[in-house]
Amino acid sequence: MNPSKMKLVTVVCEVALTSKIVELAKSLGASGFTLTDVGGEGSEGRAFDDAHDRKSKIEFVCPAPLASRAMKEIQDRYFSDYSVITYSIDVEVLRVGKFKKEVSRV
Amino acid sequence: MLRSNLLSPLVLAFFLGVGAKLIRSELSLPKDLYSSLSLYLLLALGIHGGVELSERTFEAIAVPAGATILLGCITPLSAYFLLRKAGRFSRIDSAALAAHYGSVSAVTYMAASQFATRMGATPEGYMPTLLTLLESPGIHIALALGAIKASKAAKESGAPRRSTGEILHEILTARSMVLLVGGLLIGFLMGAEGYAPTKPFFEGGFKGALVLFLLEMGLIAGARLSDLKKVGLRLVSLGVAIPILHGSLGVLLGHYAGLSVGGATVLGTMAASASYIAAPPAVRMTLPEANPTYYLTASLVVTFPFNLVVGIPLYYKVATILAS
Repeated sequence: MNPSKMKLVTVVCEVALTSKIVELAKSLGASGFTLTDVGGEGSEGRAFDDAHDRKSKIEFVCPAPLASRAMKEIQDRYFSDYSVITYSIDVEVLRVGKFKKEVSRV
Repeated sequence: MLRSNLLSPLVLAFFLGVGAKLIRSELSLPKDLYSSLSLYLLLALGIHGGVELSERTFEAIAVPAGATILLGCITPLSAYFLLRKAGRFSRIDSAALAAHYGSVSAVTYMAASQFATRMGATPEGYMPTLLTLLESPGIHIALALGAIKASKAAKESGAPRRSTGEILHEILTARSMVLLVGGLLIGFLMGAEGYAPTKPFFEGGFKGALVLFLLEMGLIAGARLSDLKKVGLRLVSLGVAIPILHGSLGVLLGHYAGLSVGGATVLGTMAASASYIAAPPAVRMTLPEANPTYYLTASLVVTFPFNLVVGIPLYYKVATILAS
């Protein structure tokens, strides 16, 4: 076993924003993502923007520079008008090639 | 009539949902069941409408279809101006709310159809076709009204904007639209003979499925009751006034377009209803500055229950008066 260091980026956002976040992550070079339907409460109380009070949780593993860039883009594009949070943590992965893709400019 | 409506299974199931939230019950419908029920209801509605459509000539539905499109163009504008002038809402919030009032709630449509049938005034079988016609023009007109202000704000913030084509694609490929239009096509192509073997499944379970769906609607509305305080009396009043205005206009247009009492009642209800499936995501992505609490509360907590309990019998009454 020879693990490599990568970042796990997590984005919790309103459902309407899901496809935008996924597109953004992929266009920046994320090789894949995991999407989960979630509920819960944030700083402004429960989800208020979706009839069913649901949120999307999008996670992707990527190299650190891509993680910073994705989080910066999400901040610039969506923080002002949408209910969205994002954070990253260090992870160790096997088969590091699975998480690397040619990075394109957006 | 109002009392009989109050005791209908749909209304009772809705209030069971609201009551369950009020007593803080853990009751909830699994999300997958909700999705399955809406899939079944919309497809059944589309197929049945398509079968009926296959037995009509184009001439028979041309005038009601024209009246429906006209309604779809008037209602977002009237809602917008009422919200701006009487409600004193901002241009963007008014446009966001108008997009909801210009579009249709399919479940309100189903409730109206059941009510009219129970009253002995079965609506025309092609009404689902009119439902699909009314779905999208209202959203577009209202979003266009908000677009000038919104694009100015976008320039300032630098946030990317969506094109009309993108919004149109989203509305036309939305799950509800694909199921309805797809169902209409399937029904139209297979006709009554092809429909016969599947009829027990699609019609036998329809009313029961609708009752379960209304229970979920009650749970959603119940969870949002406290938001009524946030939106204020003006929006609550307009959430009742706009459907009465649009409902009466819809009945009137339906009557003059040659629809029966049941058909005019259902068309009036469609015009009176506020979308809560198609409009919210379109508005959220196009006018993100608009306050979602306003449009979700108005649509789900004020207008939907109003139409279900009082509005539908009222539009039926107007239709019977016009017919006599």
